[in-house]
Amino acid sequence: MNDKIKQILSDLYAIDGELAQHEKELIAIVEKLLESKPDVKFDDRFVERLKTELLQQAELLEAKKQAKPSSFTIILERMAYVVGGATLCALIIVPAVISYQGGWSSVPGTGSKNLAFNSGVSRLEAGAFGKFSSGDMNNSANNSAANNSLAAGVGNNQAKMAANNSVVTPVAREVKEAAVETRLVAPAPVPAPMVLEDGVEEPVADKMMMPFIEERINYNYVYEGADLPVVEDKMTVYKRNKKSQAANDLGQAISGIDFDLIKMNKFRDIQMTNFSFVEDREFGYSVYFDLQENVISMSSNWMRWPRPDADCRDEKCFESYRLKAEDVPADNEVIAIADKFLSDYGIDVASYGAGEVQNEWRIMYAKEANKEDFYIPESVSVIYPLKVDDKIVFENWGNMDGLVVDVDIRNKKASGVRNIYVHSFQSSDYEAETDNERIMKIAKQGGLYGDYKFEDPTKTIDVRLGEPVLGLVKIWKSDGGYAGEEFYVPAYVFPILNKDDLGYFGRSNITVPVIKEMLDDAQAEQIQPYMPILRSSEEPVILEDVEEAAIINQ
Amino acid sequence: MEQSEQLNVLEQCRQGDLSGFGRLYDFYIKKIYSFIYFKTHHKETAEDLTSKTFLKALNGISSFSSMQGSFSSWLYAIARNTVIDHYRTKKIEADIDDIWDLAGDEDVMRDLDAAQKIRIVEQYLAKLPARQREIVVMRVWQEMSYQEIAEALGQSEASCKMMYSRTMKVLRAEMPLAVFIAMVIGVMKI
Repeated sequence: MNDKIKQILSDLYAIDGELAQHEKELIAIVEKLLESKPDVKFDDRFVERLKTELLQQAELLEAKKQAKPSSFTIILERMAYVVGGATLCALIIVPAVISYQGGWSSVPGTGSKNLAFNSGVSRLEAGAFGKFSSGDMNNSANNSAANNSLAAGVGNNQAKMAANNSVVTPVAREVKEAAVETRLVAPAPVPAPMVLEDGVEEPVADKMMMPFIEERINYNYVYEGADLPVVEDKMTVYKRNKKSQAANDLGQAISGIDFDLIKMNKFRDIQMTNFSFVEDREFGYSVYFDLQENVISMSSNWMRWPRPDADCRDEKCFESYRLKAEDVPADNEVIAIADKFLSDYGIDVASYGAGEVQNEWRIMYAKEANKEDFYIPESVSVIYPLKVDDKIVFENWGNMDGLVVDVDIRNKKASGVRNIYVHSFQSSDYEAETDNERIMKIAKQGGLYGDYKFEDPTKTIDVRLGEPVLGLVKIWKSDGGYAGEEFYVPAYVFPILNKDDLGYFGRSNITVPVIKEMLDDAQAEQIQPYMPILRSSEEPVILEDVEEAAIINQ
Repeated sequence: MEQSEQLNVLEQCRQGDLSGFGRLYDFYIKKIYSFIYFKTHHKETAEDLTSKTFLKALNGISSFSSMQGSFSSWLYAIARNTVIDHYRTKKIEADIDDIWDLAGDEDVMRDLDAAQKIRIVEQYLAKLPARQREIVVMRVWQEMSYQEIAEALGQSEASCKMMYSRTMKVLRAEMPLAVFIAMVIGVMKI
């Protein structure tokens, strides 16, 4: 009889001594009761989430009780006399967006406070998001590229930043194909001309010349690790909530404004889709609110960030301002700049891991024979990996997803941040693949999407895969209309151990989703070369004879 | 959390300073969640009803007075009523206090493992009046002291002890044969 049972019984006997006569039966009852105790599944994340909500509610209740005019409303009253409606609208809109995302029911008067967003996960029944297919992984590759350029924000400098950005963004299928070196074949010997009825020879058209892929590399994925981490029979898929009440409320707000140039009251069911503003000061920022994607981004207001080479008119002048490798600060200094920027602007990093500098440019620089010609980027990026329920989120192509802060090398300042999302999710359980052999087979083909395997490679390179962690991979599914819904599905993430030796490979990890229906739906896709396969430029092939040529060349 | 500290926080809340509510939350969250879980056997429902309980408590705390009893009994009463409201909106029948009153009802959501675990004792605990069942669950499953139970139920310690011993007598009369058989079967499977 264990101590717990003894204690329970001794309490009982203290109340009613007669019960001691039935000790054996009582022991059996108490044991059975203890055995039958259900596991309450106490969830620390739920506790934290609820506490945050309650403390927000407490602040709101306190504010209502106090009912003092806020500094914000006083500013509004003053501004109404001296500025136009557009500026006032901007003052109203900016805190209103934040207030709605913070779950407050009216414009707050506390502009100086840190504002918490309505983060959290609401749980739905199993399979609530419909069917997932392997095609959703394809969608994710293309959408990643599109969304990254969107998130980079407006303005010329964003384009420049995107070009300079050393974050290895996931590469869409077409770009991956472009990474394979292609070369148009020198004009081949003209094939035998057609002889027409009248004996005139009709030459074969030049358009039948084929491009030839010079370097054909196959990648051989080799696993160097122990058994895979165990997954449960059902794993949780998360869907990011992109709907924002702010879009409706701001739409209503703007419909009530009287613009002289147009009648706003003629418009119905207005939803604000996005807005932006700039700081008109040296080193000011441009801020973009995307209310359809529920994401905020900041970038430098390029017109107010000094560029000393802007007045250059000759090569010598440009060369004098070129950055050198030693101008790029050490990683810890770059991270410190990024950390301070996030802290200064009150950007909540609780859902992110520690910052990591994206140093792919250094890998290429180290390999570069002529370092003087190497273009040192104007900025480097620090990525703070997003975590949902303690799992890191990756993009389909294996790079981490998350908050990205760009640090301007020349000015040693943060020049912007992307992917400030509202972390509001729904979750639903799906059946997981527990057959490790199947997982390994997919990992060894380079992921669910796979690599194209040349039949006659010029080189085969081993890609060494380390022991995977369980993370989440971001994918998009159509919502049945024209929009895409964003999901995070559980996946094995195999780190590439020798990525520094692979040259331009563009991947840091291989991801294999564990949702069974995605794997069941997967097809053995091969990446097609641009043109039919040729063995050499001496053998031009007529388009119509492609299949026959492919067979001949095997 | 010491009684005196609790009283200080309550007084602050009454005067409009709700910043101390977080400390009350930290102290009671696990107890209230477990109390509700043992009445619902479903994680998501328990989390939802726990949230509602604390929100109601927050909204009403500034008007809470010790004349109403202890804060603990007030909070547990909110939790109990929240569970009752939850089931009575789902089922038209009047007398449903918690999921135990719906034993055998397939429409009600339960965690499978919880349903499995309580399978043997369910029929006996389900027959008990809600208050007696609460005492047994609090004592045996939640391992609360009689003082804590008394505070939670708004009763005296003596009456809680009496009710507990009577309930165990009832269980002893109802359960033993089936329990012994179940135990024997369990031993044989091992």
